[in-house]
Amino acid sequence: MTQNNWNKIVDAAFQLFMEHGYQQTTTKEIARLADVNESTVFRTFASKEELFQTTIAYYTRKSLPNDFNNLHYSGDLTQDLKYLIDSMIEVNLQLTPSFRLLVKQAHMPVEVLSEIYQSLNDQQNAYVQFIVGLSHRYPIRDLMFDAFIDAIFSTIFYHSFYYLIDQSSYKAMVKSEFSDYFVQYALTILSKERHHEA
Amino acid sequence: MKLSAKEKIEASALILFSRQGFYETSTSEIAKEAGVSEATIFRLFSNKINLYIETLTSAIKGFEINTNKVLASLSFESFENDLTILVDFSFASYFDNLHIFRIFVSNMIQIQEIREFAFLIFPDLRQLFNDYLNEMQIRSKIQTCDCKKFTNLLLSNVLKDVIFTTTFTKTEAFDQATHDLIMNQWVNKIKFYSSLLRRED
Repeated sequence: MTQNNWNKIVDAAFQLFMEHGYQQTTTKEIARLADVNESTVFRTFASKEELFQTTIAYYTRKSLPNDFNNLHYSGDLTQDLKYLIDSMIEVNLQLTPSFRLLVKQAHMPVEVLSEIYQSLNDQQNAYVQFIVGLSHRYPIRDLMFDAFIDAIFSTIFYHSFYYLIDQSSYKAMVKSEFSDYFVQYALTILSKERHHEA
Repeated sequence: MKLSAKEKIEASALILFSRQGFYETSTSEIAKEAGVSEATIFRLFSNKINLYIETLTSAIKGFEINTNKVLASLSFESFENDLTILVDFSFASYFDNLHIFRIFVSNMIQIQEIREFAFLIFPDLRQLFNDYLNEMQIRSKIQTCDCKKFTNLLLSNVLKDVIFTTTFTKTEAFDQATHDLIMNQWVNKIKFYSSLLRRED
C-alpha cells in the first residue's frame, strides 16, 4: 500500500461519506472513486467503520493549521489580530463540514473523539499564547485571555454555519469581509477606551 | 397520557435522526423503535423527508422554556451571580432540547428544506438575556452596551460548549457530573463576560 493509495482512498471516502452519510456509502463506491481495487481498501482498513473513523479524524486534524506561528507578530495590532482571526475562520469553515458527521454519536469510539478534542484544545492554547504575546506588545485591555479566545472562537463557530449556507445576511459577503467583521469586533473588546453608546 | 402513533413515530424519529443522521436512519428502524409498522409511517407522513420536516416542526412547536422561575431567582444586583444563574439555565435548556440542535448542526448546511427555520441560538434565551441586560442598564448596574451583540457572543459560547461536550464525551444529559464539569469551566468565563460590562465609576 503506497501513501498515494492511502490518500486516494481517504479522500474518496470523505467525499462520499459527506454526501451520502455512513450507511448509504459502500466500500465498493469508495474504491471506484479512488480508482483502486476494493481488496486494496480492505488491505489497509480492517472495516468500513475503521475507514470512516480514520477519515473523519484525518480531516478534522487537517483542518487545524500546522503553520499557525505563535511568534508571528507584524508590529501592527490590527494586522496581528487579522492573522489570528483568519486562522480561526479557516479552522471553523473546514471543521464545520466534518463536524456534521462527528456530531452524530454513531460510529465514533470515545478514544478517537478525545484525541480530536485534544488537538482542538492544543490549537486553542496556541491562540491564547499568541494573544498573551500581543498584550506585551500593544496597550490592550487586560482581560482573561483564555476566555477571550474561547468567546471569539465560539462566535466564529456559530457564524460559520450560517456563512456556509449563505443565509440572507451573509450573501455576497466574501471571506475577507467576514474576517474584517471579527477583527473589528475583537478590536472593540480589546480597546482600552470604553465605548459608551449615546 | 397515551401517545398517538404519530407522536410515537416523531419521538423515535427525533432521537434516531439526532444520533445517526438523516441519511443514516431508515424508516424501518424508526418503525421498529416506535413499535409501529413501516406502512403506518408512510400512511401518516408519505415519505422520509416529510417525516423529517414534520418531526422537526413538532419539536420546535414544543419548544417552550419557562423563564419566570429563572427571572424570579435573579438579584438584579450582582451581575456575576446573575450571569451564573442565566448560564446554568441556558445549558439546561439546550440539553433539554439537545436532539433538535444536534439535527440542526449536522444537517442545516446539507438539507435545504430545514434552512428556513433552523436556528442555533434559542430565541427564548436570547430574549431573556436581552431583557435582563436592558433592565440592568436602566438600573445602572452595568455599563451601556449593545445587548444583542453581548447576548450573541455569550450564547454562541454556550452553544459551542454544548456541541463540543456532547460530541466529544457522548453525553446527552445535563446530569450532575456534566453540570459540575461545565459550570466549573465557566467560573472564569463568567468573570470574563462580567468584566466586559463592569461599570468603572
